[in-house]
Amino acid sequence: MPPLFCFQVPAMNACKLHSLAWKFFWISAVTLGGGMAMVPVMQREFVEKQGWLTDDEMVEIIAVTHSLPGVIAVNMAVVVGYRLRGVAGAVASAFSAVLAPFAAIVFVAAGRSAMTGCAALDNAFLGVRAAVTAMILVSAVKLGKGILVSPVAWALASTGFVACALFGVDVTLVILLGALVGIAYIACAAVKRRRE
Amino acid sequence: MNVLLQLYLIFAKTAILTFGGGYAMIPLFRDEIVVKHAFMDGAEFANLVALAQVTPGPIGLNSATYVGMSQAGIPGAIAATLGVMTPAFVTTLAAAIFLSRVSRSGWLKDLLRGIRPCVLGVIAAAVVFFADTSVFTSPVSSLVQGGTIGVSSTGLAIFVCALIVEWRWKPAPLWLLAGSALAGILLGGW
Repeated sequence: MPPLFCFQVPAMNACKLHSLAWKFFWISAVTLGGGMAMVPVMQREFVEKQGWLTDDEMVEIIAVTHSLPGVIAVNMAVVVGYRLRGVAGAVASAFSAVLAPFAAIVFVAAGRSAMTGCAALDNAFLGVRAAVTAMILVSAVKLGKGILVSPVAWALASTGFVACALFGVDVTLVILLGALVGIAYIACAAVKRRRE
Repeated sequence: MNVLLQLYLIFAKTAILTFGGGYAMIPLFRDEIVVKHAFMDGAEFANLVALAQVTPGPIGLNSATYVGMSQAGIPGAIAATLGVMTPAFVTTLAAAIFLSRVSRSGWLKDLLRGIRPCVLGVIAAAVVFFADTSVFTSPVSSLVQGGTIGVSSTGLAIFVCALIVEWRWKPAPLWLLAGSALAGILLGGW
């Protein structure tokens, strides 16, 4: 199995550092919601327009950034930045990518406290919360189609749901339970390989 | 402990447990912000999740900035944002530099086979928590203690409509949320 494209030695001269930083700044500024919303814009900009990355590299970047801990938008900025300009590129990309979201929320937080106690706003937010509930439910069902493929997966997901929703169990503990099962999978795979 | 350092550490710790991003980070951040540290209540957190859909950047980053800002102003916002960035930064960069031989079918995939269903379970639990702040008037978990549960007709009506619209057409979040906000004002009064 060859090493992943995006982890190969960085192509240091692929682009200028400041244009890389600028690209990440505006990509994160125009993609509402962050994370996966950035992918189509990054694909158009980095692959089609600039030719800094290939389609295959983009696919791998998405896979890798989803398998590592942390905020996806920052993960993507680090991987792409490192691939194109090394450590300096990773630092520049990550900080550029958080600048616009940071500014937006600072303004929101400042404005929010000035508007408390307004009935119209409270009711607007009640509607918004109901809609967010629906959005997350739909996304959970869609995610479930890909994840709930075995009895073990069903058991883990229902355990996690009941533990958190009804008994207030710490979310961290549920994730750690999943990690333990993951380690068991790794052990099984290792045993299987040795037998072959 | 210094409040800035505390903000930094809380968000660094929370972000390191986030695999997969997107909605997967909502339950973890909720647990930390609402349950453990009581920086805000469940309804305000749900508002923040909605705001994160219509502002740049992901919910993890947005909620860190918001909490930091509300606890300690701009310096707090900076400390919390740096906290959220740190795990992403360190693990991804370390992976990029050292794991040049991670293969496509490696141990990471097996590990995630265990973690993903659990993440799905806690996302489903987050749906319940969000319903607690909109559709229901008392937490669903109170049923376990033999309590009863009330339903907000406004919240339920908007939830059902949003569910149908989101499932059938999947509009941009901005439109769905703007429509729901308007419906909230029209049904709930102003």
